[in-house]
Amino acid sequence: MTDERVDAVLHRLDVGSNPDPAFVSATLAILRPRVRAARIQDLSRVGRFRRDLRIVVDRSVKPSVSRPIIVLGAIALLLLAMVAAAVLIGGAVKRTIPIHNGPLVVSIGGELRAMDTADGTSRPITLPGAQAEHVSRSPDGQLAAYWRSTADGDQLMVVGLDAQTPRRLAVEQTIWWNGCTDSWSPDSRYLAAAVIVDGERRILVADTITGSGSLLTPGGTLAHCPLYSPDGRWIAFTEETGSSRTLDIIGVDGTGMRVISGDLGGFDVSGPDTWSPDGKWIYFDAQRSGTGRIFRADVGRGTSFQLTTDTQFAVAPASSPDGTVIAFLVVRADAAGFDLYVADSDGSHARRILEHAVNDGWSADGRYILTRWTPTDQSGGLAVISPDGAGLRVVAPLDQGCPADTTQPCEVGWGQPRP
Amino acid sequence: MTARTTVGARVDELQVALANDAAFESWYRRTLPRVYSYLLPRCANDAALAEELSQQTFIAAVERRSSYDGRSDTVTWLCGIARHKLADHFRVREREERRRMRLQVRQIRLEGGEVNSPGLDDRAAIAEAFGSLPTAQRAVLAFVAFDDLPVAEVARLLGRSPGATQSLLHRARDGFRRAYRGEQADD
Repeated sequence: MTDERVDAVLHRLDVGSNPDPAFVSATLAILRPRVRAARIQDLSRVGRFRRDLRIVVDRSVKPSVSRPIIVLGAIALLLLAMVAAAVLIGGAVKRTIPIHNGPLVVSIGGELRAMDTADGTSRPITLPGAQAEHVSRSPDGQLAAYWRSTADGDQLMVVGLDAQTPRRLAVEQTIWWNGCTDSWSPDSRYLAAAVIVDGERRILVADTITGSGSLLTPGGTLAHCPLYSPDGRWIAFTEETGSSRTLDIIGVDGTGMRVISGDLGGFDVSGPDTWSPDGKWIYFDAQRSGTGRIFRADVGRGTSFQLTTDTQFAVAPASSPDGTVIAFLVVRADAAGFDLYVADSDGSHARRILEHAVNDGWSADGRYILTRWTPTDQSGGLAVISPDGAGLRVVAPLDQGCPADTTQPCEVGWGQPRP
Repeated sequence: MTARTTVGARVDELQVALANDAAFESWYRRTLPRVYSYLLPRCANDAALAEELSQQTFIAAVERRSSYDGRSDTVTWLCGIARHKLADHFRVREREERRRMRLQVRQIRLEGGEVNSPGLDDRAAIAEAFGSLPTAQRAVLAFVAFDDLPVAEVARLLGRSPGATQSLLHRARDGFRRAYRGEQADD
C-alpha cells in the first residue's frame, strides 16, 4: 500500500456522524450559563470596548503579507497607551477588578434599583413607592421581577432594567405570594412562582412576553418553591403532604410529575436550591428536629445523597454555574448566625471561607459568591467573595437591599438561583 | 469591499448566535454535528473521546469568542479549535504513555497482500487499525492524512521538529499498513 493509499483508506472514516442526543442536551445545558455570562460580559463597557477595538483593527488593516506586523505594531502602541494611562490614573484611583455579571437588582425602600457591583453605584429602575418586594433578575440581565402587595391580592410585576414601565403579569389570576424566590426560565422568558390561589398552594408560570399566567401543578398538590432546570424543560419544587415534604419535578407542560428525593431518613425538604448545569443533580437542604443537612438528588434515579456531616447544621446550598463546587451555610456553634462554606460538588473538601455570612448565590461566571456579611467587629454589608475565600469586597452597606437581620431575606437578584 | 462585508456578516453571525438562548441553541445544534464528525474519525471512532473534545471545543469557543474575526465561517473556526484540542489530547496521552513506560507490543501479521476494494468499506477495521497505533503516530496521521496539513504545520501543532515529525509519519503509515493488513487477515 502506497502512502497515498494509506491516507485514502483512512479518509474512509471521514463521514458525517450524529452525536448522541443525550450528549447534545447535556452539553447544551453546560454551555448555556457560560453563554449567558459571555453575553452579559459583552454588554459591559469593557466588552463593548474590546469588540469595537476588533472592528476598528479589522477595518483599518487590509489583508496582506505585512498584516501581522501592522497588527502587532498597533497592539504594541495600544499597550503602551494603556500602560501610560494606568500609570497616570493608578496613583489617584484605587483599582478594582471589574465584575462582568450584569447589574445586581436591589429593592431599597421598595424602590427597584440596578446596582453596579464593581463600584456600588446604582440607578433607579422603578419610581419611588413601587413597593417592590421579593426581587429577582432574569438570567440575561434584561428584566427584573418583583411582587407588590395590595388588599385584593399580590401582584407579580416585571420591568425592563432600562426603566420601562412595569407590567403586571397573570392579571387573570387572583394570587398571593407564597414565600419563595421566583425562578426564571433559562431563556429569560418565563417566570415560575409559588402562589396561593383559592387557598391552594400552586406553582404559577407567567409569560413575560404575553403577560399570561397559568397554574402548572395540579389542584390538591401543595407545591412550593419552583426552580427551572437548566434546559428549561422541568421545574423542581417542594411538595408538602400531611406528614412530610418531598422534592418533586414536573414537566413545563404539566406532565411527568414525580418525587425524586427518595428516602431522606425523616428529613423534610426545604426547597430545591440549584440544579447542576447538566441537569443530573438538584441540590437542596432538608431539616429534621431542629437540624439540617445538604443533599443532592439524582434526578434520573430518584434517590438522594447527604453531602454534609451529621455534626453540622447546614442549609442553603448553591451549585456553581460550572457544577464543580457548592456554596452553603453552616449554623455557627454559638448559634449567632451562619458561616459560609464551599465544598466540591459531591460534598468533599468542605471548608469555611467566611464567618458571619449568608449565601445569596453565585455570579453568572462562577467567579463570585454574593453574600450578606455581618461581622461582629466591623460594619459588613452586601459583599462578593471568590470561592477560594479571597477577594472579599463589600459592594453596598447593609439595609441597601439586605437587612442586618440575617433571618430576613435580602431583596436582591443577580440572575442566578438564590438559596 | 465584498470581502469586508462578508467578514462583517460572519462576525455578526457569531454575535447573533450568542445573542440569546434560542439563537445559541439553533447555532449549536447546527454546528455540533460538524465538529463531532470532524473529531470522531480522528479519535479512531471513540465516541466518548469525540464527545469530550467536542464539549471542550464549544466551551473554548465561548471563552475565546473575541478571537473570531469572521475570515472563515464559524464551523471552520470551531474545527480549528477542535484541532488544537485534539493535539492537546494527543500530547497528554503520549506523555502518559511515556511516563508509564508501557510499550504496547502489537501482534501484527506482516504477511498479506494489497488491500482489496471490499475491505476499504470496512470502517470498523480501519478504525481499529488506526486506534491500535501509538498515540504519537495516530496524532501525526490524524493531521496529515485526514486534514492534509503540511508536515511543518503538524510539527508545530505537536511540538516536534519537522524532521522528527516526518520520521514519525513514515512509521505511522507503515504501522497502519501492517495493522490494517492484520485486521483484513483476521477477517
